[in-house]
Amino acid sequence: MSKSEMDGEYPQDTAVQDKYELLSPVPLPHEQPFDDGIPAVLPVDVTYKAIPVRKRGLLPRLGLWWQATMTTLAANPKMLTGVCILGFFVLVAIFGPLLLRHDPAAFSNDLFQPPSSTHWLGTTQKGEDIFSQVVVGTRASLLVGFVSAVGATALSVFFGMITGYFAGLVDDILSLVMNIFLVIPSLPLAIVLASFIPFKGPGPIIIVLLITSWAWGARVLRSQTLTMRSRDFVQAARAVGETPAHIIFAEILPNEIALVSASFVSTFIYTILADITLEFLGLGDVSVTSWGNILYWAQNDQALLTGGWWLFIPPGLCIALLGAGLAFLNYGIDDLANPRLRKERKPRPVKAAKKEATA
Amino acid sequence: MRHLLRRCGFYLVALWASITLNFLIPRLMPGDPTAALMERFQGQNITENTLHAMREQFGISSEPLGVQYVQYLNNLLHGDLGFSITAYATVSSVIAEHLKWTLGLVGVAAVLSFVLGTLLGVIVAWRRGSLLDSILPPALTFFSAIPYFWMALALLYVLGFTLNLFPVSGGYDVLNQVPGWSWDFTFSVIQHAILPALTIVISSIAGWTIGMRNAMLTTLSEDYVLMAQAKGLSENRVMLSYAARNAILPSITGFAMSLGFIVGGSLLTEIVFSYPGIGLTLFKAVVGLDYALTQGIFLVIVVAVLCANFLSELMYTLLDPRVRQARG
Amino acid sequence: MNNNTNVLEVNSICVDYAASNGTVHAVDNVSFTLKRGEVLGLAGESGSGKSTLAYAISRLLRPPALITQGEVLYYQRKSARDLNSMTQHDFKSTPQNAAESSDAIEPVDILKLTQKQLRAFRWQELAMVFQSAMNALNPVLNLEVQMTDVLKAHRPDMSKDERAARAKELLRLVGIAPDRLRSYPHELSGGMRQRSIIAIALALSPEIIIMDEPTTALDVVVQRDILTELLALKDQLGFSIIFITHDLSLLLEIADKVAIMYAGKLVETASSENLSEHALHPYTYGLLHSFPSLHGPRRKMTGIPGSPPDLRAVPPGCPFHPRCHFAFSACKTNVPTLLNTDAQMQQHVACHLYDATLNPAGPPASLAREALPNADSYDYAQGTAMIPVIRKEKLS
Repeated sequence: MSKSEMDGEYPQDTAVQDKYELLSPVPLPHEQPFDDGIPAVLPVDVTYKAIPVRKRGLLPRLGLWWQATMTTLAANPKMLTGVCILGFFVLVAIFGPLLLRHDPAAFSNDLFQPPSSTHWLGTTQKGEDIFSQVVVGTRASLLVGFVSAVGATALSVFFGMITGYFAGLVDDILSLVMNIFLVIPSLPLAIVLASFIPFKGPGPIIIVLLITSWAWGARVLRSQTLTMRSRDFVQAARAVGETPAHIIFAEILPNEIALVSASFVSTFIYTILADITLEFLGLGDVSVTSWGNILYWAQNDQALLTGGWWLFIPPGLCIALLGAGLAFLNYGIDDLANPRLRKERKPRPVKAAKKEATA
Repeated sequence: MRHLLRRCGFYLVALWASITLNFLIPRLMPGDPTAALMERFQGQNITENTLHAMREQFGISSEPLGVQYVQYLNNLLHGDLGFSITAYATVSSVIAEHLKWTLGLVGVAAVLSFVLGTLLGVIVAWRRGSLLDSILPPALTFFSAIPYFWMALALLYVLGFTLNLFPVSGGYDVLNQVPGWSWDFTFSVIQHAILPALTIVISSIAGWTIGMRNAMLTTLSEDYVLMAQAKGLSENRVMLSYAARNAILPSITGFAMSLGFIVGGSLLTEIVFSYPGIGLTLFKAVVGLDYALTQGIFLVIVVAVLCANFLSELMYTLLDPRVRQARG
Repeated sequence: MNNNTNVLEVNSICVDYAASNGTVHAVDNVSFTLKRGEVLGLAGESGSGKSTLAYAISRLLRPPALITQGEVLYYQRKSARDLNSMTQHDFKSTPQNAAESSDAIEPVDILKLTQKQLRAFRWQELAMVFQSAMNALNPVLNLEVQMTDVLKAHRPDMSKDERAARAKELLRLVGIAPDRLRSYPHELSGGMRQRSIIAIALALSPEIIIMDEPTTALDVVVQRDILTELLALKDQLGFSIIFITHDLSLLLEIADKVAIMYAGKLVETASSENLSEHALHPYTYGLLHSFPSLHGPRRKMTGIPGSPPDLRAVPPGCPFHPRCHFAFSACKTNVPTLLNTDAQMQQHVACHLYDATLNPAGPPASLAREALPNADSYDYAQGTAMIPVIRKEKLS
């Protein structure tokens, strides 16, 4: 950096993009002509100049981002598996219903049929095609889970970071609330809440899930923010006079992105499972097609004990696959953030080269 | 000691909060729950008194909220949780009848899952990079992603229905056995408890294993483990006393937090297996719109989980001497 | 006790780290010897490979580090202790006749010991004192357990009371009150923790103690106390010390012999007096003149321009040549090996200036930079030359 840049100016914009380049080539001692015995003279001065980087267009930037993502994914097989599985289900949710043969709600005459060529996953007791139901249900299940997870993560980021940053009374009160919500078991609470709400549907379920799942992420973020707030860059930002909102969301939050992503994925797993559980118990809107409702109707009609395994295996497998994919994604994020967990390769000694060098 | 007292205080506050939550939830809901109940009882004779009693159960009384609250607390102190409509008995007696089944099942299964899971985690971490390490964590992850009730259904179908290895429902053989301390009865209980317990263990073991594995891997890179190896101690001692003893501390905290989740999962297991615990009772109460019983069971579940949390915090204090210092 | 024989011989040891972007030669062909009762100081900048060398000797390296060649010969002390107090954990079955009669004991290559032998060897013959005592002590076990478990593992014949008594005796040796025996590590002060680590190291009266920067984290008063006690214990019990530090001035005080490492290679070994009086290698000279002395005439602090090389891309030939004022053509191509400049004074240096065939003119009379013709034109305040560093580009 040139002298003027070093003189006391605090770089307000932390995303300074400078490319440093050696202007004058360094005349190293050994590059100068030698007269044996006469020691070389060391160069005196080397200056650096800041060259602003040229602005890149959107498309090249996207390309770079894609490249970076692909490299990270390639190095991280767990994450790759998770992303593939999640991607598959998202595609099914978006495009699946457009490609169906049967209308999922249509009753047909093939009652309680096992999987066949016409009905790939069989039919229910009322003759509905299960395959169509599963495909259409993907949308509802993913949507409710996603919206709840986003909302819960937003809540936990907000409350967690505010609690962590403002220690003292705010911290005491909010963390007490947080701990109470943590300690009360979430599924029984969700069941009770959902059963008491008089109207059923995805809305109440989302609200119930929001209430029961924000606390975990909030606690994790709180402890991380507590550590961060005594770091130098936060002190520096304070000294410059930044508002707390800016410090929390523009300075500290970018450092905790890995944590927030992991928290989001975990919450997503929880909300999908909880949503399906609530619907299985009949607490959702039973007229909507979703994975949980398929299971509800299966249980209601005593499918299991009459041997109708095709009624509950497909939705269950979908849930398990999606859950596993998300869990792998989470472990991938873990591995990314904590290098100690990465796969170790046993080093192999390069014996031949060694012998030559010491000859 | 001070630390323990502080935690005790917290749990008391949490208890109070859950009681109050329990009180407020039905009273804050829009709509009139008695209307739904009335529909159910249409055609039967309901006297004005019954209606009034029902209304009181839901707290739809004309008295102000504060008075109701005090009455509620008073009732609680006397062990009066209300009257269950579906079971035609007091809520307390219903809960007392079913609670022991759940405690037995969940207690044993949760502890078993924790012990097995952490042991597996220690072994997997010690044999890092081996075949076990490559296979076990992903396999366990897959199993843990399967929701509790689906795992229950699958096990019920495969092992109970198709292969007929285990009974498909009930806590014991209601047709042949009489409850009592006989060997036959105990055997029947165990036989009926295996599938539900298996469900709980399989679904929750992955979390422990992977959590412990990750904690062990972090601990194994610490200097004190290196020093223990440098001391020439046996591999077992290094693994258990130096590495695992430190790595298990976050798992114990995690045990407390996950207990709530396990309780939730066991509810579903009970429903699938028709196991006569409070999970099944809660389900029946919810379906039958029996609000008093629902509230009562919820309260009992919360209290149980709070107690379990407190116990695990106690254990943490015993295991980690650093916590015993009063923290400011 | 000090028969002035070797207790440890390290021959051509190489340690590589298999990093994802190339192999790093952390220790490159290092050889030295350690005598009984001697204090060997190992000095060098951060990243010069001193800790790696110490861990390699005691076989405590973790993947991705790998010892690719070399041998570490350990000479077991012949005394009654060999035959009596070593129980079935004897790491090497010493033949009966050799122990009593001759001086020549068959040395053991530590790198070739089996796991079982290694476990018996560790701590009994070679102990280590780590840098941060807070990290080296298990936080959930109290001091007594940590001291007695090593006794339990190596001396199963000791009873519980004997172990407790030995633990108390060790604490007394290092100057900790015996009533602190049951304390946990977080209850002790920094100095006490370091002392307790030393006490644990002395538990089995080892022959060699490797100390990896034991006093770096302590204040100077405590440092002096601990080091004085340590040297007194050394005279009393007769063990050798390999003392690793970056603080050369400290080594000149306490070490008998000093070895300087640079970029994974040994560049100079000499007794501490010889080193302080006439350092032969330009790097050593630069190190010695990087810090002011408390007394003596004021002199210009010269330092060493440049920075240590990236071990993934070590300069060819002598690794120091880019920063060396005296470099000449041979330095760029030939790797210097340790030359014995003075057989009597036992000073070895790895520098071509002292190689009669490559530098017939002989070494310069003085390594001081003031002696250079253009010394005054170099303005050290401006900044120093930078060997091209790996450039980092910050993207948006």
